[in-house]
Amino acid sequence: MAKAEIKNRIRRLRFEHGEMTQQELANRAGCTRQTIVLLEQGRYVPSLALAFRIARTFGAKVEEVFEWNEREVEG
Amino acid sequence: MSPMYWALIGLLGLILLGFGLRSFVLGGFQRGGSGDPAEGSPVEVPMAPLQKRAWWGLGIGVVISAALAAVVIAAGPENYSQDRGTRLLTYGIFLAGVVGYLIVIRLTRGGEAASGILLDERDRAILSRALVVSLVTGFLTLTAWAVALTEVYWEARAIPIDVPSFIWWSTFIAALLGREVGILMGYAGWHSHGEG
Repeated sequence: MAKAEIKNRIRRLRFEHGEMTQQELANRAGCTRQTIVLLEQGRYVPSLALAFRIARTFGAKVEEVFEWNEREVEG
Repeated sequence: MSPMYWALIGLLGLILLGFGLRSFVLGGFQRGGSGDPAEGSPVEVPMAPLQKRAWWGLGIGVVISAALAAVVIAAGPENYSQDRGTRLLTYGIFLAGVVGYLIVIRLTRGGEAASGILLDERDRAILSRALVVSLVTGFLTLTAWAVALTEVYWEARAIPIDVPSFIWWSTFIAALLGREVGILMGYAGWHSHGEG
């Protein structure tokens, strides 16, 4: 069975954008800081709209921020 | 000493318990990280504004429910409607709860608005699912009343005149508490994917 995993580079991109805080990113992307924390921890997968807003905050394409991996899982 | 005296003592105790819970919950919240990238992601996730309100709502709701139950039990369910003072006391407790919750919302709103977004896609999804929990809680409360009244008053073939009022208040409060519990369950890990 194939299981999809979505990883992101949000934490790295924050570093590269003047050490942007989670709160700053949340304000600019239109979400709460809690959602940013969960995204960075890989515990939340955003909607397409939020993914686009986060990517645009960094001036990047969605696929430069989010990475979709498909791996085979037994069971 | 009169039962009303004990009810007031109990109410004061519950208020103190509520303040204790508040300190415990907000103390946990303040242990979260600052969000600075140099720290990385904090282990503890900061509370969302809706989550904080749910804790407040649940705390106030539990205190008010317990106080109302204490007053009705102290006065005696059978005598509740005959004593005007008891009735007014219960209305006062309920109103105090509503006003207290509104004051908390008003006092915390300034800080929340200054710190950013109040409600995002995850909060909205959790809120919509919490409404289902609220409906189920209300339905279960009505079911419990129906079963209990049928069993207790089967022989009499009639229920006391105060019971419909108790049914309404208990269902209303249970649905409100169910909503808050549903929100907190949502933040505890129900919701991990955005929609759309």
